[in-house]
This record gives sequence, C-alpha cells and structure tokens, in this order.
Amino acid sequence: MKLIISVVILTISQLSYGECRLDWDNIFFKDLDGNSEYNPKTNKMELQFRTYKKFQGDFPQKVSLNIPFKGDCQDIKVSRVSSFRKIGPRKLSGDENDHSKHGLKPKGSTYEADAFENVPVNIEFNGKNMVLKPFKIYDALASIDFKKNHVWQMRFDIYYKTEQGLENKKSHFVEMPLIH
Amino acid sequence: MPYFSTTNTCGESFFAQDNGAFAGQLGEGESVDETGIPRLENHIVQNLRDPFGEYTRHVNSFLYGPNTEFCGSDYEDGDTVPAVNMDITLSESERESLREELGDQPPWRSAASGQGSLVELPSTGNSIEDQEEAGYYRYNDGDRHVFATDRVTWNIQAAGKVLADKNIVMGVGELSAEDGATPGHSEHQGGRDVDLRLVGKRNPNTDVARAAPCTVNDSSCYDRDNTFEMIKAFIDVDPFGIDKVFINDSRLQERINEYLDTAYGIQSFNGMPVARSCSGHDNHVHLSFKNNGTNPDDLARRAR
Repeated sequence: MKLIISVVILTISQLSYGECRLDWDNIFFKDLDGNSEYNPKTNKMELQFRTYKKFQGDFPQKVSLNIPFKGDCQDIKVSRVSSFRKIGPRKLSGDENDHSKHGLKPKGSTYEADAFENVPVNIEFNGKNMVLKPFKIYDALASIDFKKNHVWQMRFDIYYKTEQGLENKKSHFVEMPLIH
Repeated sequence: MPYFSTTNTCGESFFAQDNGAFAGQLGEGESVDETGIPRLENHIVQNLRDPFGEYTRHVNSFLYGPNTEFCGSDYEDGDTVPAVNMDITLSESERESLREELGDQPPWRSAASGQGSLVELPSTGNSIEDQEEAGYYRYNDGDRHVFATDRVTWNIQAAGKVLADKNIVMGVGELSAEDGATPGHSEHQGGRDVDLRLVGKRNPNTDVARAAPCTVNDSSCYDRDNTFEMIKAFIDVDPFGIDKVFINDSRLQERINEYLDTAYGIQSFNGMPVARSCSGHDNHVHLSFKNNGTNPDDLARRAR
C-alpha cells in the first residue's frame, strides 16, 4: 500500500513539474540598461538592474517584461505582444497650486494602441522567468504631448500558444501614477 | 462622473504670495542670535511667508483634515535616538568657503519671470572618491532629468560640500529635463524641484553614510538622523528658498519643521508645515525651491 501511495505521489509530482505554469499575477518589469550602484559589501560601484511592478517618477529607458513560471515552458510560443497606453489629462492629478485633485485617475478612457515602435519582441527563458524584451517605457511616456497629458496606465496583451498548441491571450496592466 | 478620488495627502494652499505687499511690515522684531546668524522673530517671518496663515490653516484643515492625519510612517525604530544637532550648520566662514569654491549663490528668479536656461548638475561619475568629495552622486539619470536652475544647481552642490565634510553622500535623482518640462511628474517642470534618496547608515569600515535605495519602513537601511542632516544642509544653504519637503516619515517631518522654526523662525508656508507627507514619498525626499513667488533673498536680507 505504501509503495502504491509513493508511486502515485511521485507520478503526480513528476507531472506537475513537467506542466508549464505561468504566474501571471507576479509579472514584473526589469530595467535593461542598469544603474551603477554602490555595494557596501565590496565598497565598489556595480551595475544593478532594478525591477518594477509599476512605473512612477523614475522611468527606465528600456525594460523587459518577466513572467515567472514553473515547470517546463520551453514549448510555449509567444506570437506577439500588443501594447496600449491609457492617456488622460495631466490636470487629473491637480496643478501645482491646486492639489485638491490629487489621486484622481482617469476612468473610462480608451486605450491607444501601438505604444511602442514595432520592434519584434525577443523571448528568453532564464530558468525562473519567461522574459519578453525590449519595451521602451520612457519613449511611450515622453512621446505624447506630456505637458498636457500623461500615460496613466499601460496594457500588454500577450498572445501565446500553449504546449498543447492552443491559442491564448493574457492581458497585463501596469499603473503609471503621476508623482510630484 | 468621470473620475474617482482617493485621499489627498499633499495639501497645498490656494494662495500665491506677493512679497512686495509686505515690505511695509518689516523693520521691527529683527534680531541676530548669539551664533551671529541673522534671524527674525517668529511672528515676523510667519507674517512674511504666510500672510493668510490663519485663514489658510482653517481652509486646509477643512479640506484636508488636520496635518496629523496626513500619511504617516510605519517606521517605529528610533524612539530613543540621540538628540540630533539642531544648531545652525553653517558659520559665516563656511559660507564664505562655499562662495570661494562655487562662486556666489545665483540670484533667485521667480517662475513668472521665466526659468532661464537650466544648468546640468555635474555628474560625479562612478568614482566613489569623487562622489565622497562632492558629497553627492546622480542616480537613474539615463532619462537626462538632470537640469535645474542655476540657483538650485548651486544649492545641491553647496549642500553636497557641507555633507562631504560630515562623510555623507547624497543621491540626487529627478531634477528636470533640459527644457524644464519633465514627463511623469506633476512638478519638476522648471528646474526647481529635487528628488533625493534617503540616506542610509554609516558603513562601519569607512564611516561614510551614503544615500541608498531604501524606504522609510526599512530600518535596516534607512537612517533618519543622516537623512535629516541632508535636508538640514539644504535648509542652511537656502533657508528661505525651500517651500516644501515631502517625506513620509512623521518623525523626520517634525524634526525638519522644528529646525526651520528654531534656526530660522519659519513655522509654516501658506498655512502648511513645510515638511509633510505625500503619496509616493516613502523612498525619496522631494524638495521644492519655488517659494510661490516670494524672493527668498529678500526674506534673508530683511532677516538681517
């Protein structure tokens, strides 16, 4: 009996290890250029690559979109990633001397497609994450008339084929609040 | 209803000031303290900087609630921190030394008169020695938001030199884009705003405290005393130029506001405390040198 249970457990764990599971809830972005930072342990400056869940204040030039996964995901094929910007008036956050509107966010605005140049998205697996890159975040922010408007949110639609060959699409939203 | 709202935490007065209107109120209550640093009696400075103080306090209190309700900090470490030096940092000889190294502090220009050409804050590069000598480094500067008015650039460099003498290195982040307008920010549109990292603890091996990418909630990294020293350096190089300090650490706010009052007689600005909370300011300090149209040099001259 014990042998049977052990075999069942081993089989289940083998199956669950092999199955690709993409963790869509924990997507993050990672700076691709890096920033030279002081390491107190070595007393040296070292290139570090910051990660982001949302973009606020310091906007990186280029980022990768990282989707954590477990199991064997090598057969996942991402066919394309479409990106969209939700653009709304800057004044939604309040002018400098009128902060009564702080924290307001546009609601009901439509998304503008083609947030980035039509650059092919490169896909890599680094052992823990499926990495899609590059996305020029700062360009997407600065290429609008930012004296009047602001990109309040972005949406990434990721089209992929599962290991069973099924077409699928997942949308990821990233907040971009205006900060002082 | 096109919007939904969240709590405002950066409350501002709605009143711009016209310093010219208050010239007639000056001339009394002036004094010089024993350190030789000029100061005004509190009520004079209060009236000068905040002519509608009582009224705006009521309006702001009504609109935003009392100041104590602004976002506070969860930082609990430091209940028993030693008292921080509240003496004015700069003697006249130190000020003279700054003038010799950096030239005279550029005159203040009102925003209404135009920002003029913005000046790039010099990079101190990747050399730790150069950063420690200058007292600052730039971070996340790939977006080239490294420009400010000549006065604000001077202030940053001067504060850096003051801090270098204390073995503190600050991290300067967002200033403004070269033409002033800076995407992603509601302020930083004219080279008069400065974002600074929080200052960390001293490295026991080097005795240097460096600004680090930490938050006020991370007591293993954040050092309130060293961060206060950084802000104090800015106050000392341009005490009447700073109109607000955003940082989400209520104890640090208290210390900054107390120092402004004790050292320079500045109790509030437009009915609001100068240092206060604002959403998004857990991991950096925001300093503004706008002063809503009041010439800080006039205030300093009158204080003498």
